Amino acid sequence: MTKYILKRLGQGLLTVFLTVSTVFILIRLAPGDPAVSYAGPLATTEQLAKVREQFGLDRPVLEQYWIFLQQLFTGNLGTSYSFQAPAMQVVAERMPYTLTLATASILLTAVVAIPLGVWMARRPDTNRELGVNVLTIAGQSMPDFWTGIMLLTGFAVLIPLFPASGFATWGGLVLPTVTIATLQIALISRMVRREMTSNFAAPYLTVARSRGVGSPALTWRYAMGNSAIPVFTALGTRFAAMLNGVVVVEVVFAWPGVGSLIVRALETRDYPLIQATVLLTALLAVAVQLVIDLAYPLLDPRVRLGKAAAA
Amino acid sequence: MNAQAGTKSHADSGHTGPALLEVRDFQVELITDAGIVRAVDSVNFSIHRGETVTIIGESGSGKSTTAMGVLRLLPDDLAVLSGTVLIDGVDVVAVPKAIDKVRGRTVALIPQDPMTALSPVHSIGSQLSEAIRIAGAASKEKDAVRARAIRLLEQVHIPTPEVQLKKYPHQLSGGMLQRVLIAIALASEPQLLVADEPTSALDVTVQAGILDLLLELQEQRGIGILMITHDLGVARLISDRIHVMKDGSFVESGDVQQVVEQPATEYTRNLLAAVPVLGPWDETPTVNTDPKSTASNTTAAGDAALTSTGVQND
Repeated sequence: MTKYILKRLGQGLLTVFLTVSTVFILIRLAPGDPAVSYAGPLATTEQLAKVREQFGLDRPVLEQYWIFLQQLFTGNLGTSYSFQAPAMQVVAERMPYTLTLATASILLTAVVAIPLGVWMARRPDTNRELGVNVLTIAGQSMPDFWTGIMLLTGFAVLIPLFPASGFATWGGLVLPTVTIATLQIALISRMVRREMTSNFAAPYLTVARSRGVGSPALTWRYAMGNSAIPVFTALGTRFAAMLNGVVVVEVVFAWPGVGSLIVRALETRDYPLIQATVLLTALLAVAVQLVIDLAYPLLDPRVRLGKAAAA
Repeated sequence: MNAQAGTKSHADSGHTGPALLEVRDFQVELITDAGIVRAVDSVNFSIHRGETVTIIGESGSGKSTTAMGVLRLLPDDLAVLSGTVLIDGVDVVAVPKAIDKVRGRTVALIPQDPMTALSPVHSIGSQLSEAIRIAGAASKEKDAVRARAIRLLEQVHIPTPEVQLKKYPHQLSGGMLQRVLIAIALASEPQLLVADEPTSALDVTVQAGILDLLLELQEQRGIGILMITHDLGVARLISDRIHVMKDGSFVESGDVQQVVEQPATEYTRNLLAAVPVLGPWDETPTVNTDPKSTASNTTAAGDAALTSTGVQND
């Protein structure tokens, strides 16, 4: 087990290293000049050269990469151009907001999508189920910025129930959470339905029914017990993705998280800030994935105890 | 019924009391994309205490559908049942809810493929304990349930039952799993076992052990068995009566020996001819007094043993 954890940890760190290295190269290949963003469009050539020298951008790319690697191992990715503060610190301050939003969204998704998927699986092909099925397809098809704007218009402007932006009160959490969860509920509930339907048709369920096991136990203990593994994995993977992927929703709702930060960092070509954001979100995503991998054996005895027959 | 000496010592015992299972004019219609298919057509049979009645037929003949229909294990929206099925006197066709009172209590199922018949993420012990609690016979206290679970595993001859309780299905062999499933079926001390091809998925040597166990349990408890099989060797070994099924109806019914030795229909003759080597009945009580040892020996050795002696028993 220790060997397994160390192996996964090593893989995770390699993933993070490759990600930040790729981003380091890509942002330097992309058009745009940090010096222009910093010094403004009216700056003279001399001023721009001075800024470049100050940021170390006048050095050869390989040398910049070498400096970046040294920074990587000390955990200090330099000073953000636009915030004039340590880049890691700027990101770390934003991280709790994104974590809060992602946690709320994944919880709402699980709480709604699992019962909804079970409900659909228990009455397949009835009119009501088909109706809900169509809604989930609609939920899957709506872009989240559109869902967000519709919710804003409806519940912040027309009916001012919730704040339109920011995170001044807990009420501010509601609309962005619902926006993110709409898509996720549509995806996860369809997955739960698929898994439950195949488990309802499994021979072991008929045999359990033959020994008098009641409907609730057949649904929750047996069919859900066996569907839980892929569903849990999907929820975990989506959570990991949300930690760096709720960019659009954060921008729509002016959420002070990492997503809106990286948009600003990209606009201003704030290299240290981009790199710090990618590093931290990649580290978090890898950590979440590691937790999922470690929880897997707890849910599935076949993984925990190996495949070999021991009779 | 023209009962003669067979593998089963109680084959000629008279029926006392009402039938455990009485099936009259039973029909199963399956709703398919191609329309309604009558999978089981006007089937009649009954099973009394200590009796084994076998339905034999090819794949698709409707024999498993009959068994699953009797237990109401076919999906309600895809299978329409009609006729009368009295389990311990209660008509489960007329009163669908009645099946909940007999399943896991009066009647139990031994399934076809033991490898897929248990939930892979729940331990043997948890699935067996659940059956014990549903049966309601034993005390619901944890220790009492556990003690009963161990006793049941002992009864089906599973070694080190305490250790097996903690195991998961993937850790046991097919033969062991079938024993576990029989133990689960026995948890409620059922009067009737429905065995749907219980040995088809198992090796020949393991089959013998399982059939042996079923005969032993029947001997001890007088359980009635409805056996579904396509294997004439199995049918001949354990049945009192055989119903030969084809395209949803019984084409021939009768005493096991009569059906095997004097098949009345072409279909039965073809079924018999399909058995690789088949000789006359050779097990007389004077040669083999212990039906159980005969049971396992015969199956284990295969049908060749029957031809080598070739003794007529009457």
